[in-house]
Amino acid sequence: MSTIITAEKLKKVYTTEAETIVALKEIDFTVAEGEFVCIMGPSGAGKTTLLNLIGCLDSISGGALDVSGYKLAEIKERRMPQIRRTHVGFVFQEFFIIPTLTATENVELPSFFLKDGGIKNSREKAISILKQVGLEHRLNHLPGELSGGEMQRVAVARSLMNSPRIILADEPTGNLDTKNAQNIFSLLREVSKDNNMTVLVATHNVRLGHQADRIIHLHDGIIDKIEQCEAA
Amino acid sequence: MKLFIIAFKNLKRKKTRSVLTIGGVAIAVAVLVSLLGFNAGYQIALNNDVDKMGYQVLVTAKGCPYEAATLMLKGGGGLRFMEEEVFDRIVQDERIDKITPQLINTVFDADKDGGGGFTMFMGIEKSYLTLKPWTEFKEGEWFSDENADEVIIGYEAAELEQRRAGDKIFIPGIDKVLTVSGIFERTGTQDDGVIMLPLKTAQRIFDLEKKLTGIGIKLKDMTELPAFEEDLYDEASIQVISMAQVKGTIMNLISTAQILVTSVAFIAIIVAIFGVVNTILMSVFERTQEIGVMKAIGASKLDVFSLIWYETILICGLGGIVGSIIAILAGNSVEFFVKKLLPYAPEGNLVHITSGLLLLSLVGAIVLGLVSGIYPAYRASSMRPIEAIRSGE
Repeated sequence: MSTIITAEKLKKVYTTEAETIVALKEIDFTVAEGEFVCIMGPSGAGKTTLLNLIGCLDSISGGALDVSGYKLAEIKERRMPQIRRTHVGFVFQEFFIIPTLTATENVELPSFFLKDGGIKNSREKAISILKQVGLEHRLNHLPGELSGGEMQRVAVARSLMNSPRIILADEPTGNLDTKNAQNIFSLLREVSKDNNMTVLVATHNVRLGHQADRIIHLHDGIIDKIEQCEAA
Repeated sequence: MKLFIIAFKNLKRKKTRSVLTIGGVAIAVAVLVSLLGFNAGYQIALNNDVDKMGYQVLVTAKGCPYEAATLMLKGGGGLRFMEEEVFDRIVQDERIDKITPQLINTVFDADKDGGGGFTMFMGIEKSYLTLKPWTEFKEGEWFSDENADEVIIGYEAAELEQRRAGDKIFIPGIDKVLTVSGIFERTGTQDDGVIMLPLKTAQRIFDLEKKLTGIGIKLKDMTELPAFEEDLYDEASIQVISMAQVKGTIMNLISTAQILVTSVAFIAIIVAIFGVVNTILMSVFERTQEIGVMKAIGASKLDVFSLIWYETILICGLGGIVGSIIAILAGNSVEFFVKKLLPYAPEGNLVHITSGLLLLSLVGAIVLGLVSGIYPAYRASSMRPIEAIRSGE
């Protein structure tokens, strides 16, 4: 399998008037294409920071980070949206689906931002993805009419819309009960397998984490260890 | 187009706020459309009124020329008198195409309109009809002779007095009874409210022998007017008024009022702009996380800018449409108030709202949206996705 993410001495520093916080301290790791990786660690370990850097939402303070062939340390900020819309899909803990749009419209939304004509038959594709995540009966429902688990499924479906190579999920099960958490995790696993997508999930949940191919354990901005899981 | 639909759905999120903001824009647009409609309508009505007087030049007794012209236009008492011999001298001038003498007098009628009012009587000669060839009889005919105790009544005056040809009419204060020889068709001018009688009869019964209030003149060539005016300059008792000048002066007077109303409209537009900016800015702040997520899933600065801009354009566009409808529906009320307030209001529609004006107002409203949307759209598009997403934590 080819490498899709490579971090070398990756560093992230936040500077405020009061203090300087080193969120990631020169970490090194690689992720292979199609791999399902969990990033685990306590709060403040740097899990979200790492996902934000990989997802081109934040800038690198030092080192190198190659994502899907892009050397992010060398790329200007104005090019970041183009990488986000074509190479990366996001799933957030709070779902963040637009309350005025139906499930189908929410899933279709990322395709509106594609240039060069976007996706032909984007509506049909959105419906097809919603069917894939088991929401064929909720196509025209507004978010207010969906349960937490269903909203997160919509968010997962939305992340798949532009067929990205990488899906980044930041605590995607944090707001769900145990059953729904397992369902969403299984769904991400299935999506990864079916589409050969690389999935990185930040989570506190040890039981779910061990269902990944590998676990990157972060602590205070340093990789404690990289664990190969038995389930893989 | 898809972003436009999202923008429309965003407006439905806070319906009351959106409706109130659209209402603010609508009021500003309605005021502006009514004002511009009034500007156009008044000018058309004034031109029509002046043109339907039939003459280009008015000779009156010395005094304020514009007061005299306005009184001739709208009717009313207070006109000064000049000697009829002036007419006898002027009529010889070869530069004149058509000419007619007039004697206007008003009489107070205690029974008029319930609380009393003035009725306008105008002494005329047959030449009056040559200057107003469009005048037709609804019924009856011209006076039987130039000294006859007869009247011809304007269309509206006949309706008000409930008179028909052959009926008698009483002139209060003079205790004179005259016979209605004819009734004119509606002309759409002040003449519709006037009671006309032969010039000599008017001079006799109002005890104004050899007196006139005005002489209407149509020159063969209007370029002769300055020379014509110059030649009459030595006549100490009279003045020559060009109706074109009268139009200009009345429009100048009206434009003073228009500046005031334009200022009000301008303030309404400024208030509307602030209202739109405030509404959209609040909406942007409330959706900070949402905007952050949109950027995270690939929206560029331009996408976010366009989305917010579409929202302001929608608010202002809808406000423009609603405002135009209000202006059309309220046109009659505006006209009613304007006619009450202005010292002289021409006959006919004073508020002239055309499709071109409506289109202009809609385009103006959209431009208003474009201007109002710049700052909120800039704020939204400048948000860094990560900070925007974290803002709700």
